[in-house]
Amino acid sequence: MSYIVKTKSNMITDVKTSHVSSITEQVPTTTYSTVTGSEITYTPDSNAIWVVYDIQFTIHSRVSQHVGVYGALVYEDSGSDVEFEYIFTGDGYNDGGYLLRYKFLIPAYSGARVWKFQTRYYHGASWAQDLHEDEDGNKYFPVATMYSIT
Amino acid sequence: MSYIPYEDSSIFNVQAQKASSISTQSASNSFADLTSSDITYNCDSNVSKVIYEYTTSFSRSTSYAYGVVEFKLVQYNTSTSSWEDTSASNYISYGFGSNTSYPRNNKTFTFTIDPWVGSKQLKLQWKLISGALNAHHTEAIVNLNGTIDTSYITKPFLIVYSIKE
Repeated sequence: MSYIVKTKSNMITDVKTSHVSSITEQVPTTTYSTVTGSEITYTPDSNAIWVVYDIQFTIHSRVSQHVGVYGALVYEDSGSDVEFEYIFTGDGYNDGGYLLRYKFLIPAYSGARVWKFQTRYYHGASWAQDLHEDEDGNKYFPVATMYSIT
Repeated sequence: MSYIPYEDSSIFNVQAQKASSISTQSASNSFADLTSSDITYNCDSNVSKVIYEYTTSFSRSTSYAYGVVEFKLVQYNTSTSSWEDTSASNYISYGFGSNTSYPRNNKTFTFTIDPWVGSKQLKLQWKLISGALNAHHTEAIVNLNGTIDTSYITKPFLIVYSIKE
């Protein structure tokens, strides 16, 4: 005898996280590069309506002037990165550190996709920032999570 | 033969929605609705709390280099046919008050609400406290090809769910 198991709808399922075992300072440039610990290969629940990507990481102003984080959530398709959505975090004349957290709601898709969050700066070195540490050089681990909403 | 397995999950009845098209909103001196923040949510009897999360971008306006706003979560009272605060604790303030701060960010605001039984309408409202701030506008993004786009709009989304402690 065979059984068909149906899961309830409106649930969070298939939670997956990306966690690195060690972390060092990451120095973004004026071209997009993948944030350490942000990459997740994710296959949605077969009943998923949405998929959530949630990332948290620490930054500080590189030269103690401004903060200008240009970010893109991308996924790999046939060897190329395809943008899903962009963000921008900017703060002028505030050279402090930040704990940044970005959340994205993605329409469900079929199969596996490799998701990555990428950053860069644009307006010159005074608007650049370094990742995974505070101004004192203390290191902080990034955390990325994905899950399905059925 | 099919079976629906019993689930004792602490998080359930998850509802999510996202704006399909949207324009920039500017904060004003009186509370106004944030676009795509409204939802009709049906709450069960075995719920400890309901969590309401709204995500979008905010940016300074061209007239001010700073901006501070206040948010409140409101619910529709079918007895009085009017909108009221969910509770006094569900207020959030966001922004930068310095005249050279140039605030721009993507934010998720989370509210925790006492449960109810049945269907209820919820929505998020906001009001200007100082300076000026725009919602759903990033001011600029940089495409993967390196070109800057100053017209990029963030599509806000909402996730509401029940928790059982």
